[in-house]
Parts: sequence; C-alpha cells; structure tokens
Amino acid sequence: MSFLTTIFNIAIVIMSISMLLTLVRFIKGPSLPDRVISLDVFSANLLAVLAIYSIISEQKAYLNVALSISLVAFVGTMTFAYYLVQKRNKHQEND
Amino acid sequence: MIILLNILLAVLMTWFTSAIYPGIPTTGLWMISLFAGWMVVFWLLSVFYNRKAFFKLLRIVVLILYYFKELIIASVKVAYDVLTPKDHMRPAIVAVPLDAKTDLEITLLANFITLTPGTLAIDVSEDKKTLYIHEVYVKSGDLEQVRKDIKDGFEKKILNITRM
Amino acid sequence: MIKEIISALLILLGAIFMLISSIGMIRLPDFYIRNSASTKAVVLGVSLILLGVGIHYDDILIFIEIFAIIFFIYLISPLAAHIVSRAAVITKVEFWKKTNLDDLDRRKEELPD
Repeated sequence: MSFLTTIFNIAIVIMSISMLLTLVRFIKGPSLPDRVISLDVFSANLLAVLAIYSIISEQKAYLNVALSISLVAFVGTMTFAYYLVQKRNKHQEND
Repeated sequence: MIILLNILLAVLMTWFTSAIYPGIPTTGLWMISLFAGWMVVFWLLSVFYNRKAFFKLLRIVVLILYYFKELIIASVKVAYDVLTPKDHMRPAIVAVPLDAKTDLEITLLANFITLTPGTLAIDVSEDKKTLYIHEVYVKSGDLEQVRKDIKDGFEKKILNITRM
Repeated sequence: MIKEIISALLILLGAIFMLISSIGMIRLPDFYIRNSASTKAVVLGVSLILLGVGIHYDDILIFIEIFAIIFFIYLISPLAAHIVSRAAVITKVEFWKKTNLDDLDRRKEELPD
C-alpha cells in the first residue's frame, strides 16, 4: 500500500512544479489575458491536487471543495473577460 | 428531452439498486457497466415509442466517441509540439461560413471546435453567419482545406443530430 | 489490486499532461497559441485524474459527484477560452509574427469599429 502512496506523492510533486511554472507566466505575462488564462490553469491544477489529496488523507469531503473551486474559477474568468471588454468600451467613449 | 429523462432514470435506478441489494459488488467498473445496461434497456424501450429518438441517440454516441478521439489526438499533438524544440506551427485566422442557424447549434459547434487539434473559436459575426477560428497547423497557407475539414467534420455531424 | 493499479496509472498520466500544459504556458510564443494548447491539455489531464480518483474510491455517490465535475469542466473550459480570446481580440493583444491575418483584416474593413 505504501507503493501507491508513493505514486500519489509523486503526482502531487509534479503538479506543484506545474503550478510554479504557471505562476512564472502569471508574473511575467505581457498582457492581462495572459494572466487570466494562467490563473485558470492554476485553479485546474489546484482542483486536481485536492482530488489526489483526498485519497491520501482519506477525507471524501475534499471532493466537494474541488467541485466548488471548479465553479468559482469559471465565474472569475468570466468576470475578468467582461471587465476587459467594458474597460475598452469606456475608453472608446471618452476619446 | 427524452434523452435527459433516460439518463436521469438510469442514474436513479443504479443508485436504488445498489442501496436495496447491497450484495451487488460496488466496484466502480461494475457500476458503470450496470449504468450502461440500464441505458441500453431504455434505448430499446424508446424504439417502441419513438423511432427517431433511437437513431438520434445512436448518432449522439457516435459524436461523443469521435469527440474523445479528437481530444486525445489534440493533446498528444500539443505535447509533441511542446516537448520538441523545433516549431512547425503556422497559425492563421480563418473565417468559416456557417450553415448552423440557431444558438444551440452554434454553441455546440464552437465548443467542439475549441477542443480539436490546434483550433480555437474566437468570434461570431453580428449576423451569425461567420465563425472566426484561430488555427495553428495550416499546411502551406491553404485556408480552404481548413474550412472544408471543419464543415465536413463537426458541423455535418451536429446538423445531422439537431435537424432530424 | 488491479483497481488500484489502474487508478494510479490514470492519475500519473493526468499529472504528466498537466505538467506538459504548463511547460507549454512558458514556451509557446503567443497568447492565442498558449490558450488553445493549455485548454486541451488541462481538460484531458483533469478528467483523467478525476476518473482515477473515482475508480480508487469505487462508491456510487462519489461517481455521481465526479461525473458532475467532469461535465462542468467539459462545458465550461472551452467557453472560458472562447470568451477570454474574444476579449483579447477586442483589446488588441498582439499576434505572433508568423500569423496569417487576412480574414480578420477583411472583417475590420467590413465593420469599421
């Protein structure tokens, strides 16, 4: 059984590395949509880490947290896109 | 509508069966096969009520399988492109004229297109006649080929389902 | 025993896809290419991982919940990618220098914005 736990830990380490890489894009990103997309990928990584962690710690309640994270991330992305379009429209009216 | 009702009934009956007879092994794979069994029973029932619904369901299953095949091909292609240093990407923006009319058809088409290899739906024109697509792998600047692939692949399959 | 091995394999495969997608976030040259690459790999990776978790738990309620999450992701992720890239076109994020932009330019001529 410890063999399986090792595999799950390896998967969590891989996904932590990918979260770090996503954060690099978040800091570096030249434009605002780049940052939005990197946050989206970050939250998907977080969801997967929670799902695997629920196996290791044997708590099924983490899956509910994963479900709500998937919903909240979508709302965040939508709001950012709406904000970008609105900001540009306002800018155009002022010109 | 009848399809959603069938799926809901299958979920509920699988759940109740496992709750009432705990002797059935609750392995996940067993549960999936039980679910599939219920689905087949309901399809065969729907033959006697409505012949059209039966063929519609068959086409929906074919579409879903094709979609998964395209998704896996897309991911492997992306992985190959990321992991090898040489880039063979020739991106372009392609305007595809649409045959799909209603909102549901256009939404389905845009969702499916975003998950096929290298494509991304960017915009729909105001009069809902053209769909703008960002395509990564254009071979030697041939935009007509891309249009033909999309119209013959997904759009034909979706229109076959919604306009029976 | 075979069940645990299947679930571990699915989880490892999904984790590798997630890693590939975020390497692509770093390496690819352009916002639009990054968007279309990361969406596909993330959708496949998350659904593989969740399927592995469901097979490991092997309980019908957990399965219903996991199918709900997978359904949401398949519905939502292309939609989010489409909306963000539409906002990027409107706010004029730059394309890669090799991109062929003829059709978009033609559209701009038709609709002076």
